[in-house]
Amino acid sequence: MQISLNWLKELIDFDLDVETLTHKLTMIGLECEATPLIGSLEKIVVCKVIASETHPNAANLKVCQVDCGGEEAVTIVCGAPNVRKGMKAPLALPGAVLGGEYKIKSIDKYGVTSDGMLCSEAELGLSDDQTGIMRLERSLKIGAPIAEALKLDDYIIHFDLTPNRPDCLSAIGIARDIGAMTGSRLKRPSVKIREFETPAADAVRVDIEDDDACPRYAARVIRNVAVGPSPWWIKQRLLASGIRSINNVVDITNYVMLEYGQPLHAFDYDNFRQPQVLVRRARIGEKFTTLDGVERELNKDVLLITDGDRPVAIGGIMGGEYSEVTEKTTTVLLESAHFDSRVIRRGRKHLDITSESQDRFERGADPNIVLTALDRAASLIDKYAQGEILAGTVDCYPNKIEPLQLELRPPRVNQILATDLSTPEMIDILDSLEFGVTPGKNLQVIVPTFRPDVTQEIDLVEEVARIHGYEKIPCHTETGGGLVTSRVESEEFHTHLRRVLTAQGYYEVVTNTIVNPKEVLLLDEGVEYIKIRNPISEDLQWLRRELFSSLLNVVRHNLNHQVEKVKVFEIGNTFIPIGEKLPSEEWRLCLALAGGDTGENWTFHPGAFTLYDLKGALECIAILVDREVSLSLAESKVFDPGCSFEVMLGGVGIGTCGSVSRVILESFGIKSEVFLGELRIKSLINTRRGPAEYQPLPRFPSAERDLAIVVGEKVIIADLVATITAAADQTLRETVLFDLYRGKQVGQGRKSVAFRLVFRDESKTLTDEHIDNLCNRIVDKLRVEHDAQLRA
Amino acid sequence: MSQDEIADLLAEAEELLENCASAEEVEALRVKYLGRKSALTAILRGLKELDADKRVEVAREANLAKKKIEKWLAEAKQKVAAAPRQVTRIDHTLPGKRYPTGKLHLITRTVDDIVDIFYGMGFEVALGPEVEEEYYNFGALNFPPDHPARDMQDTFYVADDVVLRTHTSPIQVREFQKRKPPVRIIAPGRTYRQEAISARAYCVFYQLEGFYVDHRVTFADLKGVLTAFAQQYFGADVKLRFRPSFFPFTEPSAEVDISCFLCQGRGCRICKHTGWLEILGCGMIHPNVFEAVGYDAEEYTGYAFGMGIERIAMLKHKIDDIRLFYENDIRFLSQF
Repeated sequence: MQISLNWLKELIDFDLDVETLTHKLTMIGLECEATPLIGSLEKIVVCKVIASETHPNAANLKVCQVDCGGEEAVTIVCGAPNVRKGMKAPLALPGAVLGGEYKIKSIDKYGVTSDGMLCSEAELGLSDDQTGIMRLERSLKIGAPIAEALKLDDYIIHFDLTPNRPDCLSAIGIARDIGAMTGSRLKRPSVKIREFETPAADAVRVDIEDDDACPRYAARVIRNVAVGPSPWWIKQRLLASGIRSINNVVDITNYVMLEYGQPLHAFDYDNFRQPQVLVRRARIGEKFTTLDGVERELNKDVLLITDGDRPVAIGGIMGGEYSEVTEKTTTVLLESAHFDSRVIRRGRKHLDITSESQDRFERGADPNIVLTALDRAASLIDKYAQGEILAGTVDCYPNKIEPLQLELRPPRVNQILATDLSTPEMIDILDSLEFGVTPGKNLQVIVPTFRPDVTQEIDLVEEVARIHGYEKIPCHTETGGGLVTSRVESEEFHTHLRRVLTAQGYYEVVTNTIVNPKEVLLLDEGVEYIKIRNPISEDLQWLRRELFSSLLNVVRHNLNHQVEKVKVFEIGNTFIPIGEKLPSEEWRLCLALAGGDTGENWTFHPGAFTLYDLKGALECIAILVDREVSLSLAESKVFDPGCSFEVMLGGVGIGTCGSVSRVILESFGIKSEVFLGELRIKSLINTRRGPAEYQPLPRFPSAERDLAIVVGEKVIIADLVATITAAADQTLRETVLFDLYRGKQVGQGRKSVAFRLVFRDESKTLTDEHIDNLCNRIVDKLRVEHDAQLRA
Repeated sequence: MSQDEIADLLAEAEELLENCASAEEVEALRVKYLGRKSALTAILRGLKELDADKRVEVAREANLAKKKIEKWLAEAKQKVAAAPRQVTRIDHTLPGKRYPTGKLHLITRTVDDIVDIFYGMGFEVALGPEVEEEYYNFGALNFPPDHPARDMQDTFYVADDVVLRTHTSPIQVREFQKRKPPVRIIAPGRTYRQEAISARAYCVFYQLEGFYVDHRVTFADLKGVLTAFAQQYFGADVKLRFRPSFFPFTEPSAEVDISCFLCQGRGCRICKHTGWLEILGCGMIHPNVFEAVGYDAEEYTGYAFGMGIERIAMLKHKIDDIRLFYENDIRFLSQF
């Protein structure tokens, strides 16, 4: 919604500059800003062409003498086809700037000096008409600045209205709120109707088939109209509201719509096949061409205005092509109706068209302004298009919509707002907004029908609050309430996970939960997904069940952007259909590693990531639940068969990890090896051990022995540790792998493994003899079970 | 030991101690001359075997020698301590030895910072499902059946009456159903909107909802809590402006602007030269919401507010493209 400032000034007295006005309107809930109607029009004046001759050196140019109020005529060279002796036109004098950049100077044109330029409407920025010089009305004073003469000294106020205020889609509605703010009373235009004797009822009858959809339809008939251009002041106001001028009749319907908020429609009555208006629902498959020239297929959601035979308009949304008012029109049927907002909404959705009319009806128009607006438009057509208004209005309004009556308890207002307003202050506010108030202990309030948003006491509280001013409501910083401020355990755990992983060098990522079906099917086929019925694109259709595809996309993006070390994690939601209304939502942690350490720190060596980098992170996570991680081989579609594991914590599987299979990497367009690990956070939390129990600190010293053995490549560490543990007794406290070596010295297919064994007894100091015996047993057993050789 | 021998010993000790270069050498000489196995100690230990007259004399000589050596030792110690030390200089400009750390996502950081402030004010944290029944997302929040927000153009549907939540407000309804006032909760979470992806809009985004219901909660309490929050989060000088607005689930409703912290309200590109930045929507919880959850709107009143996390982070860090949050380029992530 945008409207001329001068128009508002005509409707209500206020003494505020434009900035203060827009600020104050914003602060009562009508957010707005102002822009000048037209750029600078300085040095542009009204002139009269007093002579016009063909240029001696250029046959397509004219040399004109123009009177612009000075003592002497000014010479202007002009190329416009419509320049005539005697016409009045806008003249840009040297120094004027058109369109903010084109500077007018005296210039020589083929030997004649032109001291300015005659302007078209387009050059002044008034319209896109550049077919010729703008023809000004004869009454304008020669020499007058054009801004003043055309009342262009105006601002456009642009409103960003909330959907609950349809009343402010009109000059009167906005002026009413200004009045509530300033205390002035609205000056409504006076409407005087001059009717001819012939009754309109003879020319048209109105029938409504569905009076829920169309509670009211009123019409007037105007004969012998002279359709032509509108007077400038109407054009100017439409211009300010961004509405194109068509002709005087159509412009007047739009003008009155902007004035009262009531959309009107003018039909060429001679195109009606019968003297009738029948409002009915469209039939399925029925076709109709709207005035924008588009043939549209209708359904039952669409309401039609017909002449009893064929449709002439889509009710409340758009007129028809062949019933438009044109220059040939002589008799006009003027419609002022009320349509139900839900019907307009469904019709708009089906047809996918919006219009000024549709917008107002959809937000909610006033059924009881219908006649006032109709008469206002008729009287303007009478005045500016010389029409003859037939007697009476044909008004079909079977069930009058009565204003709502509400009760307002003044103490309730102060209770909610923490204010100290008196009852008379509240009455004043409601009265200024044209609510009818009957005073009493509780106020009886009649809600005008132009305020469909006000339906309960609380809505009246808001009216009082916004006009009183939110800024005057106090600001309390003391509060009561409970002492319990529990946090969500899972959220707390997420925080711990984030800390651990960022400390390990992982970056947190946040990805879209809506995923590409093609991608997730590569990872996980044959399972059910939550599918969006109205996706925004083919690539974003399903809700994810896992985070793998999301993180593979992050890996790809980064590798493609010169990031050589991708080390990321996400704590994200997944959605598993479980046959109920809502899916099960499960939080998961996913880690991804690609590339390698790049030597960012001089103390360690760059190198490609391996499974052990990932396992290290899992071990850090396991500390949070006081458990140890083990991996067990497990098949998976995602991972390479040789490097695909279930992650076990305290003997319980909580997720999977491994090296992503070639096939999947190729489908995602990733060339480097990627390690992924995904854990179910709830399962992870469930493995958490209870509070750790205190163990007395050792009273006797421990003894260490290093044991280096060479074994076959296929022997796994866990088996060696198991053998060592079985061969020793309970004095063996720790078995730490501290070196792993492959090379010439140990021979092909063999590896050297070094353990540090820590022995301790809680009741005595161990003797060397005891420990040596144990070590010998361990070495023997390793030799027997694993063909291990002691390294020298 | 004879007196001559003691004199020789003293002469030797004096010379050696004078030429000491390190504390270690001084200590070695201390052990040599005064230690348990030193000659002087032997003399003093052997005193009782001497004749009484000789004993006194020897004792005097030995003690005198001991004192002299002790004095020279102290001098030598002082000298080596004061002497300029020969050290290998360390290059203190080399970076420290550490494993490079990662960073939290900016959305996480922003949510955490905001939640911490409200947690300190006595708000509990609550969460709700992202796939939500239409009833919780709209109906119970006083959205009429034909409300435009319910359009397929605005909301993702996964079934006739199941949507991806378009805001965090359904958490209000779920929490109200679970408990009785006083209820004071902060609820962050992911929300969805059926919207083409652009620099200004993404189909996924984060919101943070806060609400408080109790006896006699007023609009003034709402102004207070948001003022306290904004001044903690954006700075103590920040001013707030409450403008009337409209949301189906609050009445009266307000938009909250803060004075632009980038230009101190003078007007800049970010605040579109208004001096104000819109940061959140709020209001008094609508009686119809209370009715839907079985609270008595006469007995209790409450407020609610909601803010967009990305918007706040974008303002605070001058980020001009919301897609950066979901692209997860490490060169972006590492900046915060």
